Amino acid sequence: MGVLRAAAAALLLLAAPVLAAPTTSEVEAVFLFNFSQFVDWPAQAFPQPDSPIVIGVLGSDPFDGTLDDVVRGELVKGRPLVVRRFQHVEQLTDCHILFISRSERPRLEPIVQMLKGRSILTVSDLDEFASQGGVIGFVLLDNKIRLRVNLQAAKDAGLTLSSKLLRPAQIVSGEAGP
Amino acid sequence: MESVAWIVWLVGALAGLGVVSNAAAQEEASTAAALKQLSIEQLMDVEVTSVSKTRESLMGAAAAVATVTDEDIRRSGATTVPEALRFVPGLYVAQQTADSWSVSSRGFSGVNSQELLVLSDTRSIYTPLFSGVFWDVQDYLMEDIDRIEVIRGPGGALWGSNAVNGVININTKSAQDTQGGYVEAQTGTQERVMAAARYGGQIGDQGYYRIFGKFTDQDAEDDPPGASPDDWSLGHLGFRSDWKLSPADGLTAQGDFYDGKIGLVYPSVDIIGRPGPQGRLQTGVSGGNVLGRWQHELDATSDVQVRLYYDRTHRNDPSFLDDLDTVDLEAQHRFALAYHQEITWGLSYRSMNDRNEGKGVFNLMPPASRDNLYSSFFQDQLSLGAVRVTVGTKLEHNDFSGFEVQPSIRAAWTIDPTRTLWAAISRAVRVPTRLERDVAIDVTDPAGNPVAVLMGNRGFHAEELLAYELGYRWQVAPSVSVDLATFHNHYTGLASLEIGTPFVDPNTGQTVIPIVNRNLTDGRADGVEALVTYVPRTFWRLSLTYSYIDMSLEAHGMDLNRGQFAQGSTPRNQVGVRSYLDLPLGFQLDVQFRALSALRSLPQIVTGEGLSGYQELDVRLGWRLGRRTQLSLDGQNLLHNHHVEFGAPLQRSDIRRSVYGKVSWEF
Repeated sequence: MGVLRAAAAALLLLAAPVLAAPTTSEVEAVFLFNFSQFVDWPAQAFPQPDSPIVIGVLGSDPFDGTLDDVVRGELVKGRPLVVRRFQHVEQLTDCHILFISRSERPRLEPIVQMLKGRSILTVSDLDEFASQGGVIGFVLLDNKIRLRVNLQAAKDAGLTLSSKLLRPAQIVSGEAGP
Repeated sequence: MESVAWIVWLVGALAGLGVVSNAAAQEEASTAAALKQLSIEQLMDVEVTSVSKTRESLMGAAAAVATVTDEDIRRSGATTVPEALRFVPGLYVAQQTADSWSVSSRGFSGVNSQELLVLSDTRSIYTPLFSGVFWDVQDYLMEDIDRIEVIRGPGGALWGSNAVNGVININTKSAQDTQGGYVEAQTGTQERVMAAARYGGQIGDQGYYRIFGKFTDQDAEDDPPGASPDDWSLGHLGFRSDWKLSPADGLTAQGDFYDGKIGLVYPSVDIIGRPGPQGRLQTGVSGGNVLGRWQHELDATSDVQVRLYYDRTHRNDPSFLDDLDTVDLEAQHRFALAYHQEITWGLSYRSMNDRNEGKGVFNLMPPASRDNLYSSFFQDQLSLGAVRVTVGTKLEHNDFSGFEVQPSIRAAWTIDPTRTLWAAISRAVRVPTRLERDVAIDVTDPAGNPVAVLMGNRGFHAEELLAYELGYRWQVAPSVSVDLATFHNHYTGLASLEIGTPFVDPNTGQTVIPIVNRNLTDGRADGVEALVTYVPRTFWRLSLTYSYIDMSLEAHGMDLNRGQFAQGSTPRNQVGVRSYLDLPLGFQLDVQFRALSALRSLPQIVTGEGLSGYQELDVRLGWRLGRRTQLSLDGQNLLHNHHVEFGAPLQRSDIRRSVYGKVSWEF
């Protein structure tokens, strides 16, 4: 034990900070925040020039407060960011980015249908989300989160996606809605 | 005595107790802030862990870890858990008959291999009879498995005496992730039918549940089938519900119930020269379990978890009747300390009540036994900047070998975000089983004089392993990753059957020649395991696995059961190649190829002779029609009409080429 302790002490001196792996929802929360910077909404999506960008979570919230921490105090293009939670799609009022939780899987088609024509960037980690009319799907591959983007769905929603977002993403065709 | 012409074939499997993967220290508050500094490209290269409890990333873990994801399971076409494990480096999976499997890690293969711990949603799949897993009753709706984590080597589990050579954690999806309806049906040349249905719904705002049922009816492997075919059928009902009671409290309740009939090609217990069961051999199996788990977050860096389960298994084998009731309660607590330390400790109690009634030759004395297991563990993980050191020990008391201490020290050096070097030294034990303690079988004519009796030995102690491991993980490029692990295992006191001192039984006047298990075999194993993953395009993924093992066992006694032959019972070289390809219009083409070198010797065969190596190929064509419907056509073991994988000639089946079609529909 004495030897181990000495070794540990020696390592302590050499040490430099490092981060352990984040959880899926932590990285997804940061992605949602990033999307607010790389997406342009039509002007009429905001009532006021300084109206907040609303990030909605529909269904069971997987973020455990991480999303609130990520956006707290941030300003994007002069707009603050707020997080709102919705249990049902009918409750959706002002919303710019909507994360659709896995709990909404059985209701996905009516949800996509109801959001049609609204300027909402829909995001989800449900299977095949982007090819089923969602705008951005998170796909877990080799423990990394990849993006799949449905350009037609983005266009239908009147959203302009920056090339910084599109370049690393996989573009899927998929019909714009069910 | 020179004609000790008997053999005991005991078909069991392996198991253990235990729970919970390593939790690692985490700079909680700064994680999100650090991630926000990354570009979209960099974010896409961040390795994530799906389990909030298991903070340790695979990249940074100081152990040989691999994960089989739900995607891997779907695309491998696996219909059972052992099949899904075929491409995990360091594991050796062999199908002996339609329903019996040998799943082993780093050697000691056999359908009753005992050096591996298997947990299903933190419930140990254990029979203290052989300390083995009966894989034939480990049934899952494969769609509902979230991931299978495999940790090779000891010390990967905080709990458990049987985690000598590895731990397999099977985790099912949270009920929240299986909402809505789902049905699947499958039929083919081997599967007469496999059908399952599941429904998931919501209870209030924060509760989710699913219920499911599954029925499998599988054809025999041997062609033509012998007098006792290995066809089998199993029905399974289950549920799981997950509740978010408050932002800090999560509750899970789940359960399973099953009933089936398992065909055997050969009696599971056979003593040459003594009459065994005749004719059609079938084991009636049934059982169930209920489990509750409560997790409470005290603050950002500390949490507690309490888990309780009850498990019942019933096995009506042609050679014995076995009933086992298990109750297991455990609690664990994780918290942070000064100087970047994270402490995890826990306590658990398990009671196993086993009743075994031999039919004919098989006999345990006493037939019923209640055995208690008290365990605890303590581990301290220190984050010394780029180096994390984990020091810990398990301490347990069991009714078989008393107190057991299993310490380990592990260190992982994150050289940079793409490279990790790790090393570990650990001691682990495999505790004796009821078979080694309580067995009482006459191996010669019971009326003869003298009579040889296979007897339990209360002086038999735990088998010991001292393991040295070294590994390296390297994200060579965003599309290429390499994971290497090496080990040197040193075993002492492995079980061997020996002749004890003869004595006269005062009741019968017979001279008894006792045959007992003693700890007279030592050995070592060295190996290398590699996993290379290459993703040339977002729609194409390739992986290569390679496993090498060199094992040598030295019997210092007579080793009557030829346990020494286990040194050759795992292929020295195993290679696996997989390709997952996404095609347009929702098609997927998945190919997996495996090549295994020969088994040089098998203790299951009287002469110890081995089996030649083999190569096999599986191909799957999947087609997704919209979000709801998936079709697939799966060909397994396509290269040969049939091949053998494991076991003695009379005890194994020829594994046939098979093709099945599957349709699944969500609503």
